[in-house]
Amino acid sequence: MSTVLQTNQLTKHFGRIKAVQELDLQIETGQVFGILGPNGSGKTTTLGMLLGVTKRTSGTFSWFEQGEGHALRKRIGAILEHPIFYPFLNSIENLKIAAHIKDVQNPDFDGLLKTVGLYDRRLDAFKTYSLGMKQRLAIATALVSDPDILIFDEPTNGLDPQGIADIRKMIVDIAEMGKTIILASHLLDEVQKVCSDFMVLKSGVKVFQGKVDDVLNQKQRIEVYADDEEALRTALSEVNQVSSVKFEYGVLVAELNEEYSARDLNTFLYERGIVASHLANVRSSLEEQFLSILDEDD
Amino acid sequence: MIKAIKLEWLKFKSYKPFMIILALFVLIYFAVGLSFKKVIDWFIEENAEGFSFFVDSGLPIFDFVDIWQNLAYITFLFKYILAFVVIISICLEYSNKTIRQNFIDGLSRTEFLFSKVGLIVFLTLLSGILLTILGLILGMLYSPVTSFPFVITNMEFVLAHMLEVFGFLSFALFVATLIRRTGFSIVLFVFYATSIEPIATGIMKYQYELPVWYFPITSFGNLVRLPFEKYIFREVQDYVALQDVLVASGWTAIFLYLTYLLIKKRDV
Repeated sequence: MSTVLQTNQLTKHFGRIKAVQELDLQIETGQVFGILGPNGSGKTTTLGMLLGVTKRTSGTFSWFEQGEGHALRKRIGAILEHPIFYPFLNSIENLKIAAHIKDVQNPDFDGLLKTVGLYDRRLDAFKTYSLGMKQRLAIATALVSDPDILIFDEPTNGLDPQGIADIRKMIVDIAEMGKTIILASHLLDEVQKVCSDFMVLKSGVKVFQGKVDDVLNQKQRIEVYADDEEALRTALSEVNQVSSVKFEYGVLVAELNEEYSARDLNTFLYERGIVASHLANVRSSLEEQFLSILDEDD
Repeated sequence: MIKAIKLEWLKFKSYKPFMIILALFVLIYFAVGLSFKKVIDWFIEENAEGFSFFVDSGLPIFDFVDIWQNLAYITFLFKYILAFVVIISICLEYSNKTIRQNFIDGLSRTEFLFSKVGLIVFLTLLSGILLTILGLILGMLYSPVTSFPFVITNMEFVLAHMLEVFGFLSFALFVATLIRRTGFSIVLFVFYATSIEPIATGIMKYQYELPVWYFPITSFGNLVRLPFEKYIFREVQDYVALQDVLVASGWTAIFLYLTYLLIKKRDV
């Protein structure tokens, strides 16, 4: 694994407002890295500095361990905030401009537009596109140079559920191609579904960094139900590894210690003569973790 | 540099309003240019009493040798249209935020400036070429002498006209980069060039007899001086003076450098 991005004490002040404060960050090849934070927490400002559009106040950063030269950005596909294109030009013309800036030889515009499902509208002006189409053109543009790393900033903002699902699937597909992805979002759910690693920004300060799985697996939650609820409750209370049992939405939710699995629980119940009519492994929601992380810092 | 120019061409050629403005510009240029003679003839005939001397002899406005300075002076207004093209081109980049995406995609700030300077160079060359063609057409139609040495004499006024246009467009580039909004940029630009500076220099010159050659718009205008007074036997500067070239070049360099600093230092 090599380091794709390293920042060192990166800081940006807008007058009195401290938008980003002394951010240290390291992202490795192949990670799908989420930057999670509420609106106004400094996500876009951070990315703006890394992409050479926002002047930093202090600190340093380095792409691909080679510094911050503008030419390195040709190896990055990035969209900040919302898709930006020349409104009067069509998809092909807009793609040509991006490909020209990125020094792409023989770009496959048709192939890219087919990948994102815009091929049929390729000769229409950008300003006639719906938000979802604009977002898809942005992804096509980000991919035009076959970059090592892609950066998405709130990619599903304002989209309908179908559009959100499409874009997320596209991001996951891109990640499976082995590319490194940085995803900034205020939606926990999005980071949970897409990312491998994440950090939490709050008022420009990094308050947490870790693996999504580690955070999720701290407590295992099992939904379980049987026809004889009383017997089930009694049985659950006898298992040492079950730390708590709650009744939620018509089922019992048990929190298990790490080493005890749903399979172990099922075996135990079966031996006691209780047949579970419902047994499901629910991951503890990242939202609770996220909110608790934000709370802790107060 | 070539890459920057090609980038600007990719943006420019597909944007219909620019192409329409340019086509109209060329059309109006020749329509107005070719009717100069008719308008002047009509004007003199209508006022024949006071101009009887000229009606008899005919003004040598379109004769070779004289024609280059005369035309270079008359066509000075056209550069405003080109300045609007430059201002719109810059301000659209800011209002659509495409300049931001250009940088994100890996364009350097210097390359961006080069691409816009490329646009200015292109418009300057266009002005020079149009002026040359118009001069040759009018001269061939109306000039009594059309031999080659006469035709090319005084053609340095075409170059002076091009420097005037280039400097003027550099000023437009600077104003647009500073203000970043199309409407406000155009209003401020036109207001400064046609009112603020002329009034200020007018007061300084005629009220207080102070020198005004160092003002930017004045210095661009000084490259090709008003030639027509010589037809009523006043002394005029009928050559391109080195000092005028140096002052105008200096302002051009200053505007381009200030634009460079703005693009280099600011968040986009």
